[in-house]
Amino acid sequence: MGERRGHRHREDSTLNAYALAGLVVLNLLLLASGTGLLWLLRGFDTWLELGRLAGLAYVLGVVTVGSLWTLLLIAGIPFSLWIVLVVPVAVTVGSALIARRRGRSPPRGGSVGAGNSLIVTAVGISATGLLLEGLFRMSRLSGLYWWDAWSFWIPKAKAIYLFGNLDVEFFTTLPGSSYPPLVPVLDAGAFHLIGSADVVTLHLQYWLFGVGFVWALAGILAERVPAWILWPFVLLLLVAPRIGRRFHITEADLLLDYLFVLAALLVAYWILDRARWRLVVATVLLSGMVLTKREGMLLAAVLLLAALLASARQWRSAWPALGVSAGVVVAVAAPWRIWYVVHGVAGEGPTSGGLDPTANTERLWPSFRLAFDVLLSSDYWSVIIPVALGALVLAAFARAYVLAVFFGTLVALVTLGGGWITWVIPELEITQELGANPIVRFMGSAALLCAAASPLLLAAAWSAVTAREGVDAT
Amino acid sequence: MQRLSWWLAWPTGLIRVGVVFLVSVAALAVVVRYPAVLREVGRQATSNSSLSYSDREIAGGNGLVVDQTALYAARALIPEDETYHVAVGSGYEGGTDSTVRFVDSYYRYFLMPRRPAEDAPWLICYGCDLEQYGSHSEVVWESGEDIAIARIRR
Repeated sequence: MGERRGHRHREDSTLNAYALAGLVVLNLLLLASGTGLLWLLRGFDTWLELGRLAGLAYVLGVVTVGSLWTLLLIAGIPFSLWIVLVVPVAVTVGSALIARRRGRSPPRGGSVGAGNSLIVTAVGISATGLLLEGLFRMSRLSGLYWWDAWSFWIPKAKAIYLFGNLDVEFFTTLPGSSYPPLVPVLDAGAFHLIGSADVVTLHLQYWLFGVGFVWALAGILAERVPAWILWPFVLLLLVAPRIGRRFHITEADLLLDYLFVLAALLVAYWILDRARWRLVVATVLLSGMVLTKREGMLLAAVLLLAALLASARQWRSAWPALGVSAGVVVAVAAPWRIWYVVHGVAGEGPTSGGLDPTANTERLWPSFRLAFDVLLSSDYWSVIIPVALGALVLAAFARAYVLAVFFGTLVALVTLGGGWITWVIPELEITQELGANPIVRFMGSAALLCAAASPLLLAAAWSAVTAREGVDAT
Repeated sequence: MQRLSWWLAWPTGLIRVGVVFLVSVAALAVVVRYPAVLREVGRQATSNSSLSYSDREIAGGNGLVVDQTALYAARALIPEDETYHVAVGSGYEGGTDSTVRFVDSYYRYFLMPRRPAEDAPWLICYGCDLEQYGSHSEVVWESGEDIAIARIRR
């Protein structure tokens, strides 16, 4: 009996090791894809720079490969292990070959520098790493508890994994049938490498998305934000009640928020320095957003609107580029929308009212009030929102107008968007109750944006006054 | 160390003080919350690892399905290429309100690739009246919770 139990234990351990190894292989392929693309788009001067941007490379790989898988699936190509492996390998090899042909050279050494900044960075990375390790242990053996996850996100993923296609019966009858399929496709890709539809191990995939996001965020911000301003905010978003501890949840909300926030940062940087690679990567992330959730359309639209406003002074050069970006996003969004219309699934738009100001007027004020209440709730977001509002004021006061206008407009539009969703969908109750209204989940995008924008705004204010003093002194 | 005037100059000093203040607020919030979050995450990890295999696998379904063995029996008895139907009798007294409303959704998730169908040859029955199927039904599994799995010949 004891011998049999020991044999069973060894068998379970082998299966576990196989599942984890599969997940590691998949994520290394995604990282390699994104790294190849970033090398092609911008190159890496040093290994240190590559390390700093590895998080962004990973997220870019996830979105690029995931979007290609999704579009191939919609086009009717069977989703097999073969496709799961070939796409990231093709992206990696293809982008590396083109990069070499364009004369990109491999990264060289690089120095980590010294001084207080290095100490703060080391402390920040250690504290972040410790928290992420705790989240890993929490994710490793988590069950699937979340209603949306087991009622439609995972069934869709299982359908793709088991049947190899967008099974019409499941995809047209499950709740949320018009939701775009990027997340179920990524889950199905993970199932192929895990070796079964193991929903417990799948939580680690979502934890990895979270780690990739935190790494990408810190890597992007570190370019313009000193370490003493950066790390408190990275840690703040991890300890906020409704952000860090949700990293393992197998739903699309946080992934959408990650893509939105990283795209917003890249667009903000692009407005400031016009490095073309930033807008290209942001466009890929925006395209991923519209394949992730229907709210992705709204968030992508308000992001581009805020970018138009913040770049108005250079509209001749900026607006055409933003127009091209919008065109690409629409083109990527179209196939899924065509698929579900062809298969008779009801659309993603509001069930009544839309932009008609005379419809549901009794819901107008309560809906927007609800969105503001959620945004300002410290129970959800700790001190993120008041600090971000203070950072916006300081940045404007220091004349860092572009960033202040961009992020101020974006937070305002997202909040109005949250109110609009409640207003135009009468089936939603005016409540923060999660099962009756998605407003808390939607406003997570505004909160995460605030956490990411605050250090950038504060650093801009700090350097603006230093630069002004330099000018005054001369 | 900067001179006091560097912090008090108008308006640059005020902006610097504001930046330092807001970074301090964020850092303080982290200092206050970090240990509690770390403890909570550790507690949750311990709680997850102490679950039985079935509690972890069924997770969100534990409050719906009443009896875990019914799920495993359905998975063992119904071939992967056959269809099933979940019926909840109006007088079923087990479970919660959610059982009546959502148990079929949970079976759909759990039993894939098996497909649900109204005229399925397999019936998963929560307190429903099997006599309406007469001699066409054969109960192949049942539990003390008034749950049965029947094969229906149509």
